[in-house]
Amino acid sequence: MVFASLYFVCFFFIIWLIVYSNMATIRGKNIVLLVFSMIFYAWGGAQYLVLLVGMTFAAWFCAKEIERRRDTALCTAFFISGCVILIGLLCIFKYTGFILESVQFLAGVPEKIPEIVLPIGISFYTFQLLSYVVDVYRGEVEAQKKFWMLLLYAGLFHQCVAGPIVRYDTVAAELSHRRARMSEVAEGTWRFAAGLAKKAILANGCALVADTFLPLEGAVLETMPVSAIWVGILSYTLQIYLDFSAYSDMAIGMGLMIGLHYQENFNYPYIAGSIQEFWRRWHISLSSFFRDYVYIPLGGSRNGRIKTIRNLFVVWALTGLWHGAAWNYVVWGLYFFCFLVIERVWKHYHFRLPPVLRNIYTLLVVAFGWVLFRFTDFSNVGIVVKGMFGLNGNALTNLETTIFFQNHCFLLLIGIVGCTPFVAAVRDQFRYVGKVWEGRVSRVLYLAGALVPVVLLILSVMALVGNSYNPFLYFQF
Amino acid sequence: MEVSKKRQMRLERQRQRYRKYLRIEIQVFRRVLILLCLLGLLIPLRPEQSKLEKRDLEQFPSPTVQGILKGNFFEDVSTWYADTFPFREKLLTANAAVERLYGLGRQQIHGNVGTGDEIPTEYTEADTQKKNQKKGKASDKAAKDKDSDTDLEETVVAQGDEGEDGMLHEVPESVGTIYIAQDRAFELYYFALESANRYIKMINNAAQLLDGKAVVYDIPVPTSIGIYLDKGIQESLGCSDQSQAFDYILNNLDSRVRGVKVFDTLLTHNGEYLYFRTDHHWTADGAYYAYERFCKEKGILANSRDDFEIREFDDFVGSFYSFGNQAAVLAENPDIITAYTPKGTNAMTYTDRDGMTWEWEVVADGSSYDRGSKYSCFIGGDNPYSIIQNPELQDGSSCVVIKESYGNAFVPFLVDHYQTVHVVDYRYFVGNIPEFVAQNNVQDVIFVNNADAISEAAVGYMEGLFQ
Repeated sequence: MVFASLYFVCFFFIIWLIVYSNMATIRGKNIVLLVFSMIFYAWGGAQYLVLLVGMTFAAWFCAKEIERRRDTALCTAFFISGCVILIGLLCIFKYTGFILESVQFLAGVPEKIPEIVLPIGISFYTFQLLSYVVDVYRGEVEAQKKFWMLLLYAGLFHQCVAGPIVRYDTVAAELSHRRARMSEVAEGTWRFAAGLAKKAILANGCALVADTFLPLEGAVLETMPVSAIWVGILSYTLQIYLDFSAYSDMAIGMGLMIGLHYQENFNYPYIAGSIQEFWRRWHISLSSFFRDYVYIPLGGSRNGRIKTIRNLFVVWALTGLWHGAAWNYVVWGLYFFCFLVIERVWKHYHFRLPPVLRNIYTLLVVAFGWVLFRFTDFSNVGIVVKGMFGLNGNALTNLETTIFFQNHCFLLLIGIVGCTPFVAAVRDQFRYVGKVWEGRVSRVLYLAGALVPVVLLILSVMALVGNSYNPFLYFQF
Repeated sequence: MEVSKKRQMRLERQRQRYRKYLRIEIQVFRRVLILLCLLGLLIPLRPEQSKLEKRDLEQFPSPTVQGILKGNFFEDVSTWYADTFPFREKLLTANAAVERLYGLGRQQIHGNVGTGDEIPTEYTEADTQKKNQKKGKASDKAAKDKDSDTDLEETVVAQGDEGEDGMLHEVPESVGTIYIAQDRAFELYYFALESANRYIKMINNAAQLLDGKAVVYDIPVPTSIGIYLDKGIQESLGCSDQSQAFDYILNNLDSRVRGVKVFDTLLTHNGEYLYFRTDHHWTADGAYYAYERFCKEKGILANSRDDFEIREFDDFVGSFYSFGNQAAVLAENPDIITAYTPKGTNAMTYTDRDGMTWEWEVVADGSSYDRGSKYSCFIGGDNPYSIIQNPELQDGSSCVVIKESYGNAFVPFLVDHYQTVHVVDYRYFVGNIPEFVAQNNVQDVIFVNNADAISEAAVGYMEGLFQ
């Protein structure tokens, strides 16, 4: 089930909310949450539910044993076996095809590559479980006694299939004791509606422009004029942020509605002034996962320059690989590694660009990164790069590009605004007015602001009608 | 003391009021969502067909163990839920209105833009191969695009049980890339060399099989873009020149085939109402000029348009509207259908795709038809097989028209020249034309195809008629 579908919004979500709100005890609420989560997950194929439950069981069992046998050799043994099981299953389901294809390319064997369907959300819940096992081993959190509570943590439909990657310690306490404050419920409603509209209207609209101007077939791509390629890259850059952050917005919103606080996953990444800053603002739950569980355990940046670079290399190769089982994702990850190293060198020599140029530099690097991200086939990346400068024998522009751009220019503009803190700032002003001002004007203003979620909801429903197949980009990760 | 107490009271009041606002915000959202949920549960309100898109909507899937395990079943349920949402068409229309705000809309393009193949001056098979290799996959892709675009499942009207009320049930229709300028829409045309060659081969093969039995006429019909849109704009949209394309086809036809070139005639009359603005078909007036050219080629005298009983059906908004994201300019400027009722007879019989036979009219009263289906007033729309017998003639003259929907507006003009007119829609007709010709003593075999129907898929269907 995807969030931005009529079925989810107008059926599953609201029914869950009604049933959940009518439960008197936290235990009842948790059972409702778990049952709905399992239905949600089974919706993508009941057989994968077995995997989710099985992996959660492995993590739960290992963590319990780790805690029980603390300070014995078996403790480490359980820790290692827990990690091996989780990472192993992730590799089998996600990377078998990729590894075999690479081997086939180099060695010519095996002849036939088995087709393994990627279970929905496996990249996300595996990382959640992994962080749990590691944290228990490190003694940072207590092992969960009840299996079903851990299943609730790993399988919670808010974040199970597309993030954010919630750490166990951020929600451990709230899983058994939580209170939804009215202001947070309102905030959650807002986030949910805003996320829905971001995806259903903006991201889908930008996707249409991106698909038209950056077609996946090389032969068609070659004929695209220069202007189309640049607008295409812009649209794809917008699409990928709006799409992915929309999912996190909806997840965070649903959490707030019931008193669960998930970590923010995006912090306006496109206003960043460097690649390092970009990655502090982009998919925060993933980059902090790699920081805490790979980079720092490897020694971080404290063991000299060579080791720091090695550590960065490992982290970024893994980050790339996490995004997809194909070489272009690895290249994409290492591409960022290069810029991070360059930025370190700059810093070392105290080199600094003026602020505006810093942002432009970051955006160009990131946008080109998305080109690597989009095309699994490297030759197409070459076509795009050549096409950006008219080297495919392509025209500067043509009529259909002009028309299509004109037909979508305001949408792209709104998309750009949607990537900045502007909307949230305006919203906060409304909140402030409603809170502090007296009198009729402020009342009207505030109520108008309060209707925004409903308006967004209705617009989104309209956009989703007839648009039934509509998966989030990050669904396959 | 007094001040701070006042201040505290004010803060408390503010807090209360703020909570009230928050409650409103939350409750309004939830109630609207509950209403939407209830609306979604009103199964009887769910539409089963889309008039706008001319297709049957998704049906509730039947569960299978595999489907549940792999998730296809649930996916289908979600698709069904969204596809048949109550008031779907109204919501689509509302959404189209929102989408118009996405940008400036003086001109619009809907669908993918490709490029056509270069149109050669001479026919060589080897040339095709070589060129394709050289050009890489570009032309293949354009050809494929073209095919999928014109995988012509056009306005087919099947008469159901409710035949009496003129209710029309249509099957899926797809139109290629649509370009809208001012109040007129066009479908972009791309020449596909391979399809053209296959078409030529198919017609020549037909002529050979029918040699000595019947005369083969080929009438390739331009689409509106070739006749109405400025050549410079056509080029800038990457479109191919239809005149050149037809020259290529007609020049390479067997000498036994009588090619009817209607392009120039239509072009000279392009100040007239030859094509619809909101639909991809030609008007009966457009078809009339083709009929005139045909008569010249056959050596008979064409009837004047004044000889016919003329009927008009207004408020026609056709395929370009539904496939052009319901462009408002089209809805606001509906077309008028002019129909010429044949003198000899207006009676016909057709067989629908379920094999049922229906008595019908060559030109039916389209005024009660659905806004998007009025073109079906000609020969009852697209049916596998239709037959019109003219009681005024007893000379045993007979022809078979092999056509897609462009032929519908053309056929009524033939009625007065033959004792029997057979009409075959090659997309649905099952049978062998040489056998059919022999059995029915047919003298003329007339192909009527619009430029977009010279595609791999369409030619494939036509080839089937001669195997």
